[in-house]
Amino acid sequence: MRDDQQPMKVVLPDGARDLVRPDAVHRDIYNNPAVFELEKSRIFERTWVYVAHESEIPNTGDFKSTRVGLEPVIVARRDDASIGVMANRCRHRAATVCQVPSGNVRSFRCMYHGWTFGLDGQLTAAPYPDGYGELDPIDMGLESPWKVESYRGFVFVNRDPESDSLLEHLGAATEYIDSYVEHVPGHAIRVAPDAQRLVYDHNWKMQLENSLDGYHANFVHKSFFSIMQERTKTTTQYVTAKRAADSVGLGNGHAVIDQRHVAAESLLNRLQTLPGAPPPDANLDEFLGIRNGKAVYEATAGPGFNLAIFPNLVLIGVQIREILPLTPSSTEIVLRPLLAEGVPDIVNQFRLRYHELFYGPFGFGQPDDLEIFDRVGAGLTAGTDPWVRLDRGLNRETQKGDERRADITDETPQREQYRMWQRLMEVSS
Amino acid sequence: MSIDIDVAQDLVRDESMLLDQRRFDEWLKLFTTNATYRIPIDPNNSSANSLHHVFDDYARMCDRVKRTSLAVAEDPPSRTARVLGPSRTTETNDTEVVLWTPFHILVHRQGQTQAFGGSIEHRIVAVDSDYRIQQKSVALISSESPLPAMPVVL
Repeated sequence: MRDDQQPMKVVLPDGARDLVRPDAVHRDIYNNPAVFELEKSRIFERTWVYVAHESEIPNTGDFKSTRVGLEPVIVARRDDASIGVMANRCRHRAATVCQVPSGNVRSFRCMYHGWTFGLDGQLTAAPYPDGYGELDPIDMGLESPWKVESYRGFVFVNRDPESDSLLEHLGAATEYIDSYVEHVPGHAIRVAPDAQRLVYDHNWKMQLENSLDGYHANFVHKSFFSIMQERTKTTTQYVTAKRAADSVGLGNGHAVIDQRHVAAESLLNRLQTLPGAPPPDANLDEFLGIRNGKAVYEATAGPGFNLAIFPNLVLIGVQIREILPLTPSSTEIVLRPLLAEGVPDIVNQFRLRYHELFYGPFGFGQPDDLEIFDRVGAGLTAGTDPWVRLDRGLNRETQKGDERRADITDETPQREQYRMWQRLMEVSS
Repeated sequence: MSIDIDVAQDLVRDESMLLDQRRFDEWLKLFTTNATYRIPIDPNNSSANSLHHVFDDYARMCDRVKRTSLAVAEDPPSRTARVLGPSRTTETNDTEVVLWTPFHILVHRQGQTQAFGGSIEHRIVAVDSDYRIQQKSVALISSESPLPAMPVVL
């Protein structure tokens, strides 16, 4: 075999260990294709990766197509109500068998040669089978090389058979997931039927970091806050230097920024700007046609913290956010706002309008984040200093077991994320 | 007296020009003060119960205009160039008309030009001889696909 026919070997320039310092990360983690290549196996095949919320596929035959790392997959509700995750690849000649983001089917058919697979992935038909000796329906079924586990409706997969259970992996983050799914008092939550999808020109980890960046809001989102202050005739700052709010590293790469103490008033004020918002003196039970109207209405502003589950799930505002890498320097994000179950339409209309205010490609906040991601991507290669600082608050961070805690503007969450990233990237097969 | 379709069509063209020329305060004056501006995710479903990219009442439209001069994502500002196809009347009576207009827009910023398109539905009302947009709804052909930051008004 000639040299150029050998498979490309991925070699990190300095080794993964040297790309993450306790106080900074090397720019290669964002823009080096070799790092991205290695992440496919060492991150997305080595830990629990979020794929769906159960409420996206409530009925038998409901499916969603998404990706695990870069691999196209189908998440489907089977006949026995269980959820299966299958590689979106015909076992014959590799064409995808599912072409749309969601829907309801009885089977998945490859339109190249007609091979057909059931909701459980088993091969149910291959045209003119006499051309084959024997086709085993399971061996030739859609591949499903993952463990599938869920917690409170959040479905994850893991390619590593030896891994911890999902519950062990989530650890202290479960407490926040619980609060998130219970944040509408007396009502379960489900995702909205549609999703907003966005794309930006930078690495996937940029969105993971920034979802828990309590330092940027007053600058990047200055326009939003000044518009909200004008509308609500308030002067409340979203985040102040007060030490009342926390950023918390929860272990295993998960982290949270908790604004419940500092931003509750600012978040509630925003509700006044919703189209058709109730007047300040309204009886909310009557206005919304529901008992406990005030508490249900205030839950429109969400639980008041941002939680990021490493590597690709963020709970923020009232939404589930998926982070889907595309290339080293481009990323797709998917946003699904959460609606309340068993409420009059008006309650969920306010939840949608609240989400649309800040988020999505046309929102009053998110485009500014994406602009900053582009600027970071553009600035990264300039100059001789390859290090991106993440040391804010190291001087005041406290640690108890796996939990690290500092102020809301500190980079404790990002350090937590990169400790996990480093741990996974260092493990060679 | 019935509504004058030619006047309504001129209003649609004026709207497009004012947006391209970034004359946003004048743009706002083309609308009634209880107008709505919407971009649904599902181009065929702009019900209040479904998720939108944009679901503005007039107050939110005014806020959107403020952002065009304040937002980080509009520094430096986008340039836009719209091409409207011929409008078709889909509903009409004595005081209002609904026009369906195919459109194409180029958005240029920071050395990149991106293309978007679809159709716009304008519900235009006539109060005496005064024509105003009561509802603008944009069906974007790419609304369900990943979109970049869109700090512009479509």
